[in-house]
Amino acid sequence: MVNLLGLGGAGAPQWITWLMLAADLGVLGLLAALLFRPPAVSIEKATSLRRTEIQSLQHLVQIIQRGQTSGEVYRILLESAVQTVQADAAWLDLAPDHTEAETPNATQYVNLAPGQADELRKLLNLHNLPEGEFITNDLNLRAGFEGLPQKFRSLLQLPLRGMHFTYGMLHLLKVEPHTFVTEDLSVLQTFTSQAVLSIENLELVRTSLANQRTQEELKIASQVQDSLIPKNLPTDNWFDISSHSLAAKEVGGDFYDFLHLPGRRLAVIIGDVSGKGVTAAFHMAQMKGIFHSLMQENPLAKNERDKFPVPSKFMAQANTALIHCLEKSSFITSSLYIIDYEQGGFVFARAGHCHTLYYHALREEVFYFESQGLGLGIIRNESYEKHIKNQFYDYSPGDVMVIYTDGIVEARGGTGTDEYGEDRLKLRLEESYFQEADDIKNFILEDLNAFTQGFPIHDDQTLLVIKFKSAQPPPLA
Amino acid sequence: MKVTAQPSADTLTLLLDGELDASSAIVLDTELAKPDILNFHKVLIDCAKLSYISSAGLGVFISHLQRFQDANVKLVFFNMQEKVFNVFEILGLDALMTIVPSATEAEAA
Repeated sequence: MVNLLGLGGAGAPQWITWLMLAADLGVLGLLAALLFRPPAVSIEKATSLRRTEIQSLQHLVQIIQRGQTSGEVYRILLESAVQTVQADAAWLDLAPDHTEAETPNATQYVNLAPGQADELRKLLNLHNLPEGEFITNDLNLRAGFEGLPQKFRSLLQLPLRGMHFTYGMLHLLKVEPHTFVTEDLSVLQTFTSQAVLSIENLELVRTSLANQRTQEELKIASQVQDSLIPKNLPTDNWFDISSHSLAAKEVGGDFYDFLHLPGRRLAVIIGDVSGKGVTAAFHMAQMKGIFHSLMQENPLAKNERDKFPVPSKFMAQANTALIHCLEKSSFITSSLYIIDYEQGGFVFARAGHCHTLYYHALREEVFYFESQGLGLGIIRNESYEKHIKNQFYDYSPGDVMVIYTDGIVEARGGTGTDEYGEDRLKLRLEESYFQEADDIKNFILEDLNAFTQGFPIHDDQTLLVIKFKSAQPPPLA
Repeated sequence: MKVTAQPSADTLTLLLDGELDASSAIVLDTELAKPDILNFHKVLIDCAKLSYISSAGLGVFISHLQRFQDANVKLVFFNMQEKVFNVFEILGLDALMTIVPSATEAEAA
């Protein structure tokens, strides 16, 4: 054009130049009209519109980065939409919230009373207008809308579609008829998809925060549970104890505990709650509570030996206590030992728990105690007492007792279906009984780890080793 | 884990095939929880192909034990592999449930 002007300026009279310039402008005007049709807008207006669109879009994008609420994103969307297409009024219906975390967002309005929106919404539903995006530029002429008392003639409807969910429906209104064009739809679609993106991003952030919180809570649960496991093992000169416990998840269902009873006696309990994770952990804590409350001295007892419940009595009482709080498909296995150094013996009851492994020093023999006893929570009435027995045993110095949960003997290794097993555990004790309790435990664990190498631990593991010493008890005063 | 139901006149035989753990326990529970099951006189559990049972698997049987007893439906296990029997025995369930060696004894039980 500059060249053309230059040529005109050089070889033709001034008016021709002006004429050509005018013609050029005319062509430009026509081009502009063609490019930005309809309505025919000036370049400045088109540019300013485009600028508004870009600004609005930028505004929306910024909302994401600031991580504000979905309510704000919807408000910005509505305002930007109204501004961009210069609507006279608008409302945004939002779908009932599909996530639990945030309170549902309410409908938002611009220059419109909720009643007016209600009226239009009802008519739109009633007259089967398309459910997706559409424009109607002669609202008053549509069937069913004839008597509409409202002044609006043009309506644009646009859904906020996400990947799996429609978040809401945007409605824009203009008083003038024939004012919405299909280009408006495509511009607004850019907005709505940006807004939906923001909403979905906010949800992602929220979900990940919730996950993080759950992780934190599990960490706390794990710490609490850890505090329930005895850290200071009982010590005395007549026995030696070593313990190991490992949960398959953050929290587990295995437990063990000790309690010194008067008269040089020691109560040792081990247990395993069926299932894993938080539910099992709760019952584990409960079982610990039951142990400590039932193992209280009964001041009404007629003789010394009746002051504390014998193991079978303890199990029957524990079974009764658990009836009301254990789910129907859950049960607890447990063994309780009361070791009496004065008598040089112990009494125990096995409530469905793994058999006790034992090394008998005088006979130089390793064996499993074979005793009958039903797990807790399986029979939920008084008849449980018939299913649990006490077993008495005299021990000698040098004897070793190995108490464990099924996570040890059922640990998988080899081909993946092989279990560590009672036989292998017995062999390890035969090879290590002469060592200290700590060394016996480590010897077994090393072998267990070698066996399970490469396989994830799928059940909680607990292992206690008690070795009876030959120390003479100091004479009682 | 696969559960196959073989109903006859007054007996329902359930064939368990595979490992009965927390994930497969649901399949068996659905089968045992059916109200119709109480119309049978006997429910026989064929454990020939049951290679493993976890505490969740035991829990399924335990949770239906009382219901079966109340309805006078006899629950009989048979063809149990030694490894699986050990799990029942350790928990003390062998004293509580009828576990027999083979189908012949199961039908006679």
